[in-house]
Amino acid sequence: MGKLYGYAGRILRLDLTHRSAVKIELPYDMARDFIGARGFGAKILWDEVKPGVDPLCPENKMILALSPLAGTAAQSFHRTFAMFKSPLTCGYFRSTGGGFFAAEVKSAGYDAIIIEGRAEKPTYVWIHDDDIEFRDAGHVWGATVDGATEILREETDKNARVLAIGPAGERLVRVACLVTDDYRTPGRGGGGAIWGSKNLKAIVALGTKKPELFNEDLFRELVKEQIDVYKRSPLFDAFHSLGTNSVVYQFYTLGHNPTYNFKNTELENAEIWRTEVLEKYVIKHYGCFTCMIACGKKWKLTKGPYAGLLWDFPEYETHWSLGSTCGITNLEAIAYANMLCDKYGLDTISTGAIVAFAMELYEKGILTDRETDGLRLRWGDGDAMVELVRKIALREGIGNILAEGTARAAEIIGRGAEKFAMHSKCLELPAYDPRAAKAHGLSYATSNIGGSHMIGWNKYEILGMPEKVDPLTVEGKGVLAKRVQDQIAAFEAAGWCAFAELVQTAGYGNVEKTMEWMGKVLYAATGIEEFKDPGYIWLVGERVYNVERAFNVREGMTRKDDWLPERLQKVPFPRDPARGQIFELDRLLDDYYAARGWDAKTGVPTRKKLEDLGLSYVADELEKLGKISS
Amino acid sequence: MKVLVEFLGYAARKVGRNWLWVEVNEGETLRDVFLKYLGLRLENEVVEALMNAFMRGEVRVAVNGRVVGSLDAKLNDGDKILVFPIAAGGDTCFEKMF
Repeated sequence: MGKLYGYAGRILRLDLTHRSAVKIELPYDMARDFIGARGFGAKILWDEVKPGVDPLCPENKMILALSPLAGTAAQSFHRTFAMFKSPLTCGYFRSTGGGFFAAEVKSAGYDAIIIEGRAEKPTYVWIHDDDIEFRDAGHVWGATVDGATEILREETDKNARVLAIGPAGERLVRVACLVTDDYRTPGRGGGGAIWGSKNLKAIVALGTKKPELFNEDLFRELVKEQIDVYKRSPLFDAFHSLGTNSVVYQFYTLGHNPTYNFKNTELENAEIWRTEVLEKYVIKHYGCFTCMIACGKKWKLTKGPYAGLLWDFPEYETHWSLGSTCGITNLEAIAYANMLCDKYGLDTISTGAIVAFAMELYEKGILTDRETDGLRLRWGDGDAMVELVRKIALREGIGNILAEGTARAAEIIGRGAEKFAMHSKCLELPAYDPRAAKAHGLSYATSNIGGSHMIGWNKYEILGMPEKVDPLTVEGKGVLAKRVQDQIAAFEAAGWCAFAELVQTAGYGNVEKTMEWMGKVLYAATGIEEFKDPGYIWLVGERVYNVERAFNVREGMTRKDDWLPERLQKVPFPRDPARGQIFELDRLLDDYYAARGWDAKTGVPTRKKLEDLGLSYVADELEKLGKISS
Repeated sequence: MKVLVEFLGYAARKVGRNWLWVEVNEGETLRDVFLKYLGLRLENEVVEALMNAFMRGEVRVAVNGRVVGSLDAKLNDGDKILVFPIAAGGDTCFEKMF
């Protein structure tokens, strides 16, 4: 096999039970077959986490993996991808966040970290190049992310990068997340609870190594092309000046940004999300490692009860989850609750969705003042939302039930609560309504990680870019959902940022050029010949997607799990432009499975499909378990 | 009939207002709104710039939330028209697009 350029060339295995660290050489064929990041996670989870494992027990593993381009001069390839069996979905999960942590792990000399076992007591891991130390974290256990991060940097190195959990993860809140030292979050799926169950408070990393590139000149030329395309892209300025806040109001008008727990009636005062209002709060711009888009912003609040706050701004999804879906248009309360989520380590999307669920239960009398300890969960009440976020983070009172996520909380509460739990595979649905964007909604239903907007973010239906597709039609949406999902899986195996891909594709005007460029830059860095062929890059995307699906099939998931709540399937959408629309789940699923080459009745990948993707060993195991026929 | 025309981002900046009500006749279209009616209230070069941006796909027009491909859409009483850049925000867009 060839030499591996570009990659660090090592995987770090951390056994928390035995406090041991083992460095393994990265196999060439794993790099060639799965590229990196999400691809590595899918492969290792399939190989190492057997079906039926309880996500919060020591046998579960989390893989943190990065792009082969992490730490290089390529723009926007420096994200952390966290793959694990989720305590929410009990299936495969991938969660991703930006910042500087991934580039530092690469500098320390690792392409991936496998976290396994359970520490006997609160622990953090200090990675300094080849030196790995398991250190006591008792003194910072219980602290918020920012508090703990400051102390841990003092005792390791002030330039170290940190990935940590807060009190929510420690308390095994199922929607708890990991948070970087600059408050970027691999947010979804309950990864924070997994670290809590392993008594792992943080990973601190510092490195000094630089990867060797295969063809420096070609690489430099391709990065220059990337920068030129970013600069001329019609999306660059908007992301650069306002990040995801640049689309909130338009999306509401276009039928996205669902209100009132997906009841989707008109929201008064939605003008609060116009860009000229939101930009007034911005006092600083910042970005992730080597990304000139720099979509991060800091807000300052100068009025109301939360005046004085200076923190990361709420993203589009957060304006929805702590705002529109709760009927809240109080920007100050949204910003404050967003900060609490960062400090406690909570996924803002799921947390806000849980608040909206609780508000609907309160409205219907299913939850009363007695159960909420007098907290009146009225629609539109920003202060009540802030208090409920705190209760969820610390598992206080009703928060202890809501911390389980909407699906499990609905089961515990009973009394018809499940009708109002807006999730798919137990992951709370984010800021788009399937009735207003059908292929995008089809991705919510079929996603390997449950109700995710990013697994199949449909730029064709939502942005009309690179070509406009009518979001309300049903024909051809199976093929469209598959295409988008495979493209995303491919560029996430390459470890690229989804916003950056959007910016670059808008700059080129088509997706094919983007994928061709990406394959070339991967080849220039790594020397792996196969990457030169864009067809191969698309294939890797489909391969990763199918391995993820196979993991879930092995866990017992089938067509019945590719599901959306009744409200979306039966209740006509009440406002323009999707007025009258429902989500035709069965018809769209049939279309999708046909496009995927999967069994129409069960939604399981066929042997032929798996073999075409080079996954015979996956097919063999599924056949042994009786999940597919030969 | 009355229709509401709302502007976002640099479209709002160029026009100088966030919204205005426009009185139109039965059977008239978006094109009439832009060329006839907005032309009465705004400067010619502003209307021209908006039309050009629309042709280039940099600015979208949605009627009651549905993005339209052409300005020949007939209007109804009370229609809400949104004129918006694909994504809005920041002073730098303003110079580049116009």
